[in-house]
Amino acid sequence: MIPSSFRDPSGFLFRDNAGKLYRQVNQQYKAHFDHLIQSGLYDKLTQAGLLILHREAEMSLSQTDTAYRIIQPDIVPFISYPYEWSFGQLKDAALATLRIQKIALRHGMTLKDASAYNIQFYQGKPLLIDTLSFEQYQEGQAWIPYRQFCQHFLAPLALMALRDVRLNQLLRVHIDGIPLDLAAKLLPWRAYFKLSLLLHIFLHVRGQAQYTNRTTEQPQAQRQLSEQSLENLIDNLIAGIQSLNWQPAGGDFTWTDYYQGDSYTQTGFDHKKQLVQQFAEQAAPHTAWDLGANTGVFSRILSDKGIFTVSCDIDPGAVEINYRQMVKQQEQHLHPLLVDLTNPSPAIGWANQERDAFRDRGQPDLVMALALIHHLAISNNVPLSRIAQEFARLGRWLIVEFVPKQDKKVQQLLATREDIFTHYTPEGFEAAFEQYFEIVRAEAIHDSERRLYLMRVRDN
Amino acid sequence: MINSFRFRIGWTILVIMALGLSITGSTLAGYLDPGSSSIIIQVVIAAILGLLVTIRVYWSRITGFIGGHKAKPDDDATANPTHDDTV
Repeated sequence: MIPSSFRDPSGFLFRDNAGKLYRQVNQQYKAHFDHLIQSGLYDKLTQAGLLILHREAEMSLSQTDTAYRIIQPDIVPFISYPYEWSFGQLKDAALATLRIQKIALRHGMTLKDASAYNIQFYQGKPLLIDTLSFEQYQEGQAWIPYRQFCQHFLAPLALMALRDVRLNQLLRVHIDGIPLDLAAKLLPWRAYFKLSLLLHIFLHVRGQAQYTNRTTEQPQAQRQLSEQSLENLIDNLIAGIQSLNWQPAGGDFTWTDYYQGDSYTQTGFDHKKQLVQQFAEQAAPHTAWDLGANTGVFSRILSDKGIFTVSCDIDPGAVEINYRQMVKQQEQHLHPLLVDLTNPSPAIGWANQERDAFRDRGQPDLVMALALIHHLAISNNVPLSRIAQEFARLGRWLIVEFVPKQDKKVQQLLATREDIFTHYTPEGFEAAFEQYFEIVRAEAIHDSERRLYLMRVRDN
Repeated sequence: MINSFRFRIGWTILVIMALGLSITGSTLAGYLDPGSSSIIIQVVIAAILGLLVTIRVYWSRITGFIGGHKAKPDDDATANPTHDDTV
């Protein structure tokens, strides 16, 4: 069983001996699963690109005698988590969840989970990957995952929009979403004047405090919600989520201009692009991770060729711009991701196994690290040999740029601190990386003192 | 005519007053499960939303009658998200 799927008695994910991913649907979920298929909900959602496609598989694969069906879902090339999403990604995931709920209601079903972890970005769009998230709707039934939705989506989006965009990192600490009492304390006063936040966060918290431990005293009738009321609730959540917005500081222009800045002339910048293209052709990867991708200009050299590229950056503004561009251009092979490489996402959850660490989520064919080494080696004191070791562990091929000490950007980093980096030279860099890689190509970037390398991991 | 923004603010304040809402004392003890209580408060919240929808309908009728045209819907209140969910 895959460690992330042990909670749901309806079924679980597992891998066969060849490593193929399957989902077992248990007998107890039979009626709901049949309804999902027979009501047309499965077809409707998969055609809308909101639910993952699956094929029926051999029952002989069943893992226990409680199996009703074995299904083989499509494979999502990279699993990401909400604390690695930009504001726009989390917002789109929230709206996708609510849209699925509305469509499900029209087919006599309702979501029983509204976890952000059930949504993944596939071919550029948010998609529900847990086929067993639905149950048959009973008239009068309240929305069971209401609190979960508020904690996983509404609270972090409100905090990001109204307080500070970095507060999405609270999701990394709180695996079941940001506790609403914490969100209520952190939100500014103006949040009271948004009806959706007033109701679904502030009043919700008040109600939690009031009714906890008194739920058994409440008559059943007080827990009933008409279908129309449920629709109103979902519509208000949609309107509330839509009304939350966040703009990266400086607007789009600052970010697009950041690349070239004063680091390259136009000739140098074009030459760097050409080299990346040539190196990528030589490495011929199917998958790539671009570390320190900024808004993804160089990631797109890869993804435009159909290479699935995870485009990571530490800056929420850069990731947001990257995502917006991806949506606008309907790009299918790119995945913008918010990651601090000096402290990447750890494994979290029960037994530290529910959500994988960033570095354990697959091995790309190619790792790309452009204008990144000086940030790791000089700003963060990570020795060059350790950087090389980690890159070699991540992927087979490496495109890496060395930014020497005399470069203006490195001089800025060294301006206010003692230069203790005696090994930070082109020779020191090559020596450190040659412990793990063979250098396949090394080219000086025109009009600059920077060098671009193509390296391949040594076979030993 | 009172515009939709003032209408919204007015109601927001009224709701706060009516419910005696305050954050003080609402911090939850860690060992309590807030999940089941969310179901009950959800019913209360849905009732408030239902009330707001009703008031809005009547309000648009009144302003429509006085002003001779329909009032604009309140975008953060309820209903009618812009995207298509047709089946």
